[in-house]
Amino acid sequence: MDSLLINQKLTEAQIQTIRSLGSEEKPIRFAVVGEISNEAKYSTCVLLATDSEIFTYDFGKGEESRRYAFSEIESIYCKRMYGNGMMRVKTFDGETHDLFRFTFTVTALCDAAAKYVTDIRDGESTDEALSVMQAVYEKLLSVCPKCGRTLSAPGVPCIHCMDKGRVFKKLWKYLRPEIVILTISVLISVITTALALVPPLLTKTLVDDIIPDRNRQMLTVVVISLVCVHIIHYLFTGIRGYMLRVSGNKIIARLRCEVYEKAQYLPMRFYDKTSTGAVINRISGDTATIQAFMLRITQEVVVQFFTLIGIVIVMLCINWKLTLYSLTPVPLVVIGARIFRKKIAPFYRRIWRRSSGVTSVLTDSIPGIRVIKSYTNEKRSTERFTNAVEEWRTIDTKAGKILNAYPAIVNCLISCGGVVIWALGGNLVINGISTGNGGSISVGLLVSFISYASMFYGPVNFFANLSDSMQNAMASLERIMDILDAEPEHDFGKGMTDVDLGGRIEFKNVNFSFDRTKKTLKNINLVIEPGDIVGIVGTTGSGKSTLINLLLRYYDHYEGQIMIDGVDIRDIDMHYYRSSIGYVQQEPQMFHDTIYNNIAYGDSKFSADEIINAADIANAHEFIVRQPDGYDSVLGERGVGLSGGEKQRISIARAMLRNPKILVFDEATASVDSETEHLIQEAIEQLISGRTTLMIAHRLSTLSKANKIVVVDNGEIIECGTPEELMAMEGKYFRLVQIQSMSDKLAESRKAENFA
Amino acid sequence: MARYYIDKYTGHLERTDLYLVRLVKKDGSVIEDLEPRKLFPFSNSEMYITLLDKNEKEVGFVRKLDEIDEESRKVLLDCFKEYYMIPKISRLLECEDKFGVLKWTVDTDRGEITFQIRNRHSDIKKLYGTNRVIVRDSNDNRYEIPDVTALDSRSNHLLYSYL
Repeated sequence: MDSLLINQKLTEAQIQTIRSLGSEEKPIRFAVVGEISNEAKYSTCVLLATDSEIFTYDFGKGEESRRYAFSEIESIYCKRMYGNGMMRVKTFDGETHDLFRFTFTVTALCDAAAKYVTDIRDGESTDEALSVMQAVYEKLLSVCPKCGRTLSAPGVPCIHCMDKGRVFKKLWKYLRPEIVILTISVLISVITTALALVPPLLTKTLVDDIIPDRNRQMLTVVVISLVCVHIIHYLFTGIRGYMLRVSGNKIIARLRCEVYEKAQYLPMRFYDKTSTGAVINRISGDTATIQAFMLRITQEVVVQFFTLIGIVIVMLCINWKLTLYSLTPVPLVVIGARIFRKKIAPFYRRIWRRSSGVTSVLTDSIPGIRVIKSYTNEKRSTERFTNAVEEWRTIDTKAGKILNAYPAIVNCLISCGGVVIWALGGNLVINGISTGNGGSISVGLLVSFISYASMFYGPVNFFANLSDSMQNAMASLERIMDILDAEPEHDFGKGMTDVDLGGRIEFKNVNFSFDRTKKTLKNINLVIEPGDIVGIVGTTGSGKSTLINLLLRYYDHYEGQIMIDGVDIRDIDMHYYRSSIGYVQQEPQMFHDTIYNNIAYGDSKFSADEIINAADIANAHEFIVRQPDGYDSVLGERGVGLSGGEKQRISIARAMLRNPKILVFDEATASVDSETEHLIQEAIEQLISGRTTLMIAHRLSTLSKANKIVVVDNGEIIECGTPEELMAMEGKYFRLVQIQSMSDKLAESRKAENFA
Repeated sequence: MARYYIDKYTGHLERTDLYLVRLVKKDGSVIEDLEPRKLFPFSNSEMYITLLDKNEKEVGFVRKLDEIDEESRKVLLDCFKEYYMIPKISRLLECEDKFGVLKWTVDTDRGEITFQIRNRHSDIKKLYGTNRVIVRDSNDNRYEIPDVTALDSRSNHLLYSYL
C-alpha cells in the first residue's frame, strides 16, 4: 500500500476511511488533519490530495467536499486570517470556493499543499512535489511519530522510542571512567548504612540491661563504642561525599565539554533549527540535570534501598509484630507528603511567576532610566513596580498559610506515628511486666523501634519521588542526545589541501533551499576570475548572503557545484579551506579578551610585529595606541568599549593577518557613519589588492573599486557584468544607482544647509 | 493623505467575499476588495476598525461600529465572524505539565480542543487591570478566557498556578 503522509495520529478506522476515499490508481498522497470545520467549530477535518484531485473530508459530519481536479484550478491559495485561515480555490470559471478552513497549527502544511497542487498542475513530477511535501511534514514533527508523545523540542529523537540500550551506552560512556570511585562509594555507603543501624541496638541494651543492672563498666564500653560508631559513620559519610563530588565533577565536566565540542562542529543547519539560547541551556543546564540523575541512579537508589531493607530485616528479627505496628503510619505519611508536594507546587510556581514579574519590571526600567527621566515618567514607573511587588506580596502571603500548614501536618503525622508505637508498644511492655512474662517486649526494644521507624521515612519518600526526577532527567537527556547524535560537519582532517584557492571560482547550476520547501537560490551560474573584485547587490532577502554562505561552506547540501581552480569545494579540507578565506561581517563579533588576542584570534604563530602591521593596514592601529593599555586593553572591561567602526577595523585586521586568498565582505560598512566608512574603505582597499574579493553592499559607493557587479533578486542572478555594462543596460542596477545618487545629493544639500 | 473616516454619511459597506467588502463613498466612488481589520482585537473590539486594500494600505477607517449604518455594521460583523477566531475558553478540562511542555484540554464556544503552550510565562497573559486572560498556543493560535472569576472551581484550580 502506498505510504500516506499524515500530521497527526488518527484512529485506524479514520485512516481506513481516508484510504477508502482514494483508489488503487489514485491513492491519497497526503492528509492534512485540521482542527476545525468550515464553520469554524472544532472538529476533525482533513484535507486530502491524490495526484490529480484535492478535497476535504469532515469526520464530524461524515461528509466529503467537492473534489477539485488540478486541471480545473486557476489558482489555489491560503488566506491567513486571525487565529485561522482559509484555503481557497479559484476555478477557471471565475468562481472562488472555500475549500478548507484551518487553524495555525497546520498553516505550513496548507501552504505546502497549495504549492503541491500548483506545481503538479504546472507539469512538475508528482515525486518531486511529494518530496517537498514530505519535507514540510518532517519539519513539523513535534510529536514522536511512533508513540505520539510530545517531544521536548521539535525534531529531537524520542527518548521513549529510542533503543534503551543505546541510551544506556551513551550514559555508560561517562560513568565508566568513574566506576571504581562509584563502586567504592557504594561500598562505603553500605557500611555507613549498616553502622547507622547499630546505635538503636546499643540503646536497647543500655535501657534494658546496663542501666537497670547499674553496670558502670558496660556503660563505659557501650558509650565508647557508640562514640566510635558515630565517628566512623560520619567520617565515612564525609569521605564518600568528597569522592562523589570529585567524580560527579569529572562526569559533568566531560559531558559539558563533549556537548560543547560537538556543538562547535555542528553545521549551520542545526543552528537554523535551534535557537542559540536553547543550545546554551542544553550545555549548561541539561548536563547538570543529567549528572545529578546519574549519581542519583547509581548511588542514592542503592543506598536508600539498602537502608530500607536493612531496617526492615533488623526490625523483623527483633519483633515482627511490633514491626508491623510501627510501620502502619508509613503509608499515611508517604501519601500525605506526596499530596503535599502536589499541592504546593502551584503555589511555588505562582510565587516564582510574581517574583520574576518584579525582576522583569526592574530589568525593563532601570536600564531605561534615561527615557523614564526624559518623559518624566518616574511616578508611573514607581507605580508599576509597586504594583508588581504588591502582587508578589499578596500571593506570597496567601501561599504562606498553606506552605506552613502542610509541613506542620506531615511532621505532626510522623510524630503521631511515633506516639502510636508508644501506645501499642507501651501496652505490650506493661502487659509483659504485669503478667510477669518479661520475654515479650522490653522498654529498650520499644525505644530502639521508635528510632528505626523514624529512619524509615527517608528512603520511602525517596522512592516515592524518584519518578519526578526521572522525568526531568529524561527531558534533558532528550535534548542532549539531539546534539550528540547530530551529524557534524565532516570535512575536517580529510580532503585536499593542495588546491590553489587563489584560482578561478565558478558556481555551476547551483540551486539551494534551506529546508527543501522554498528555493532560496535558483540556477546560479557565476564565474569569478582571480583578482576580481565582485560587488553583490540586491534587496534584503534576495539571497546575497546565502550565496556567500555557500561559498563559505556553511551549507553543503546544495545542488550543482561550486569549483575553485577546477576542484569542487566540498572535496577540500574544511580547515585548510576556511582558513584561506577572510570573512568580514556586518556586525563583527568581538570576544572578551585583549585587542591583541582579538586580532590574533587563537593563532599563536603570529608575531607582535605582524599583528601591529595588520592593525596598521586596517586603520586600527591609530585608535589602539590611544588606549591606555594599548594592545593589552581587554574589550568590554572598565569602559574599553569600541565603537562599531573601531570593531569593524579590528575585524578587518583579523582577516588581514591571515593573508587570505579570498576575501568576503558582508556589508562591512553598513552600520557606521560616513567618515568611519571612509577609513574602513581605505583599509579594505589596502587589503583587497591582488586578492579575489566578494563584497555585499547596500551603499553602492562602497563598490567603486569593483570590476564586476552581480545583481541578485529573488534567488536569481538577474544582471551580471562590469559596472559600465550594467549602467548601459539601464536595468535594476541602473535604477539602484539613480535612487542612491539622488538620496546622496539630497543628504549633501541638507548638510550644506546646516553648515551654511 | 488624510484618513478617510467612515460613518453613516460618508460611506457604506457591502460584503463581496468571505472577508472582503466594497466601500461606496459619499461621492459615489467605489473601492473594491477591502479587508476590514480590528485595530484592538483584544482590548476594545468594537472600536477602531481599519479597511485595508490589497497592498495592506489603509483606505478607510471606522471609529465606532454604531457610527455607521445598520447594514454596513452587519457587513463588518459578518466579516469579522469569518476572519477572527479567538475561541472563548469556558472550562479547563485537563492540564498536563510534562517534559516542560504544557498541554491543555479546554472547552470553548467552538467545542473542545487540546493544545500546547510552549512558554507559560509569555503565552498566558492576564490583561492589565482586567479579568481577561489571553492564551497563545505553540502554533500561534489565540484563545481567551473572558472572565477568570467566572470559571468553575476546577478550572480555576487548574489555571491557578499559571497566572
